Amino acid sequence: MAPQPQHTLLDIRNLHLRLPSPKGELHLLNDISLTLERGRTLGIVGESGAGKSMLIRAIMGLASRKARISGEIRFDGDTITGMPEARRRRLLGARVGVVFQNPTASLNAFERVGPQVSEAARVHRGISAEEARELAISLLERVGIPDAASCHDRYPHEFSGGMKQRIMIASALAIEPDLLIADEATTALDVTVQKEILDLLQILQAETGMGMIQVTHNLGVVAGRTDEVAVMYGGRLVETGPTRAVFEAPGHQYTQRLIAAVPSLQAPIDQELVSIPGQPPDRLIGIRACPFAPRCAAATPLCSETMPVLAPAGDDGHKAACHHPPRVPAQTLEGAR
Amino acid sequence: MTAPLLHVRNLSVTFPRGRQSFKAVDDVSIDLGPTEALGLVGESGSGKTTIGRAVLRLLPFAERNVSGEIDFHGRPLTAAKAAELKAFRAQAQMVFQDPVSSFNPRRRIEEIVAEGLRIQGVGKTEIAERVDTALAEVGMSRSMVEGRRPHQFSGGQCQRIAIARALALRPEMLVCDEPVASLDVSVQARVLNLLRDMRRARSLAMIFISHDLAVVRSICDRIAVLYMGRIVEIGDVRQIFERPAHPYTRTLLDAVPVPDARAKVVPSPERAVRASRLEEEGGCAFRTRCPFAQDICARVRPELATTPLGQQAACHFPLPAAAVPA
Amino acid sequence: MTPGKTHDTTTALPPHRAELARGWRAGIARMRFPQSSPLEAFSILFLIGLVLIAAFADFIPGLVNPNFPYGDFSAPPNWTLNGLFGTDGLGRSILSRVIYGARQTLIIVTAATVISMVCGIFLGMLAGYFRGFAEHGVDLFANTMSSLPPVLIILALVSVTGTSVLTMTLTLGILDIGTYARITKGGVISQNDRDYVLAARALGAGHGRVLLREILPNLVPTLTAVVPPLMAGLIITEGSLSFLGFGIPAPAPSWGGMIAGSTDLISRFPLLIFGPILAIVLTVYALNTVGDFLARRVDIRERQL
Repeated sequence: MAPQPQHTLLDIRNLHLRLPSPKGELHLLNDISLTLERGRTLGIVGESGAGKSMLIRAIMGLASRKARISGEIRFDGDTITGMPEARRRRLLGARVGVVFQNPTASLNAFERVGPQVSEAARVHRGISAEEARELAISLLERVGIPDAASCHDRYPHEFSGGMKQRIMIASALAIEPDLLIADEATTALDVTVQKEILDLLQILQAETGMGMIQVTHNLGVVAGRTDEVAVMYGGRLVETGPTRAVFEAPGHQYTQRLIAAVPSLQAPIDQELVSIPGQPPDRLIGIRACPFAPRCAAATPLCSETMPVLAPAGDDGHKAACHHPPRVPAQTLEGAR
Repeated sequence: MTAPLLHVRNLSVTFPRGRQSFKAVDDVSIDLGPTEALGLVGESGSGKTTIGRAVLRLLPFAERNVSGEIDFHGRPLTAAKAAELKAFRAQAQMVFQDPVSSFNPRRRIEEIVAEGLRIQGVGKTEIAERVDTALAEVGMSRSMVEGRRPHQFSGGQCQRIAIARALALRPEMLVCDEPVASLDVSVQARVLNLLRDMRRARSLAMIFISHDLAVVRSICDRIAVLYMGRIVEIGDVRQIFERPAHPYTRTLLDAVPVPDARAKVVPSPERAVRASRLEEEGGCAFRTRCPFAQDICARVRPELATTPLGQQAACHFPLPAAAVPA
Repeated sequence: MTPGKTHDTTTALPPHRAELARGWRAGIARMRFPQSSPLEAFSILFLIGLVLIAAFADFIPGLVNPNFPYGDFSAPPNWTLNGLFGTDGLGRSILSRVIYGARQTLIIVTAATVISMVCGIFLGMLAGYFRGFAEHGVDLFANTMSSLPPVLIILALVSVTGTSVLTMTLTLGILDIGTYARITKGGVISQNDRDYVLAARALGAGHGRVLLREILPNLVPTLTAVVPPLMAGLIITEGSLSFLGFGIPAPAPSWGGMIAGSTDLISRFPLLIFGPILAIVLTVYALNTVGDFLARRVDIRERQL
């Protein structure tokens, strides 16, 4: 995958993030390299503590001031690492929309939803109050809020969780972003509402041609909805590649277990569910072994001695960092819809 | 069928909402056998949590407005006196969605697990024994938890501790309210497998509340699907999953995220229109979202009736088996 | 944590995690007592010193009896112990009167705080836990209390019992019941929303146990933080009530009474009121500063839990 620079929206090269703590330096992100093309969707998947949210924060320049960051992040050709903070905020604020997990916490409870939706556009575009109102109403309509004109003047608590998340999406769209980041945006929602929101995001992306990053702990959410997927573990990228290839022939034991852990509607009813034993590692110190080895059923002494590097695991840039890539495809795929 | 452990008849719960009131639970009847696991599945606002709390008599008392019968072991729970209620607490336990918030932040883990026993007046040595046993059953040990507080454990570990707290009382019935909804997919399975094993090992009766049908599938014998406070379908787990009769059950099944990337998901632009809960309306509450709705659905509220497929569904036009893709 | 236990905890979590947990604990221990600013440290030391001096006034060598003349009338301050703030119109040592007045004021204010806390927490818990009529009743009471001027309350009490230490204590005690009730009510309502309260009930805990063993301990930090500023308010109210003539009967010294007693001489001897005013200002300031410090501590702790 050697894309033309002008088509690459987001290009992350060898990103490291270290955070000093009373007990030593935390290695929160280790050698992350990712690219996202304009108009494509990238899924970032991993357990809590895998570093997904830290990666998003690093991209957005929201990481702690104490963090030591090395490597390069380029957004649409501009190197944003090392950019003065005010300039970076202006650049990303005007072109990147983010939707977080908890819409109730993200919305200001004491402000009507309309102005919240148009806020980013008012800040970055300087539009008039009249234009802002029109924009907010059209955005609310676009994300499927019925009777948008009257909703403009209502308060967040008058809406359900799914509706609030739609409002968040509308406010992220206000700047007509080139990149939309959904950070666990559907995790707290009912499955039915989750499906509606995922569908909505997919439709909006097709309409606008923006790039999208879906961050989630559930591989079921990215399957069939993303072009590429990146699996993170212990602050590292352990597998990356075209979504379809990763699901059909996972190149990492961890990915295979994650796929199998999604509760299936097809497996025999009384079959034991697949879980991943143990706890994810804490990245207090740099480790030289495979971070997943202590929890891995296929681990051998080699795994706790040498760190596997990302190596080709298939076509189209499918890469995985595993000494013992799984041979059989994930069993849950058998007979799945 | 043997005498049910829990017998619920015509349960309705009304909450005041300003000057209006809304029916969180509307005329629900359920029987739960002594070793049976029943899934209560529906979206938020379907009344599933309210039912779970009502059968444990845990609804907030200031706004309680409960009608109907709830019998436990054949004795009416609604009339239970303080002493009876306390004894019932030892027999019926609960596991919450967010384990961390279900722990008093000022307590140590061993105190948390022992708390029910202490309240029930169990002797000191027996408390220690039963706490050890309960921790061992959930795959932990006293030395792992001693002196530590909830925030020092991961979500999955906390949920296992919460299960140990409930099991330490040796209950006959366990109500699990979305016990894995706040956990990563990778640790959900561990908690689900644990609950399933416990159920078998202890012959527990269980009510398992979830918004996700895929989650209840491996644990429950029977499933009741709830929509806006009413049961719309109830049947064996195989009936519900293999040939659902109610279109809403179908909707829930379709919404389950599947880890299959072979086909692109085709997004549907439709947004479900949910009826208002405040006005009493006639007819089927699901009709605004139902692809098969007809005139009659707006006029006549369908009652639960046995369908040709075997389970009970409250639908004028239950899906035939053939309508369900294999 | 003993070294023996460290080994065990590593079985629960991978080694770095245990390390992290220990680091965290150290961090929390530090956060519970956050770094105090120099002003806060001064305030804490000042209050401790004030309590000690007031408690052991009888043992301060050379300190004269506050109720008997000691030197010239209205003498200006000088560098002797008893003359540090000068003498009042009756020739009594102002320093001695300030110290004995501190004892009186502290006893009254502390007793009043105990009264209002006990009553206020009790009412607040009833209101927050049972809601409904209990809440309406307590709200009505709290709002009525806070809309009554203190003078009115003490007038009513004085008409029954006359001015005395007890009357003053009761008046001040009644004043803050509403405030404590309101703060407790809010705390109970927010704690009641958390699942651990429901979990305790599910385990069989009765209302009393839920309120006293589960909810109350979680309110203690919040309540502690409001005590010092409320006490500061009481000191000022005590001062103004004494000034209006409802204070503790003469000749017992009290800060407010000293200011009141000096008003007719103030134009000629402005230094007379310097002692009691300095005492009131410093104490009130210190109490408010300690209140801020405690509130910051609560804030940090809440974020931790």
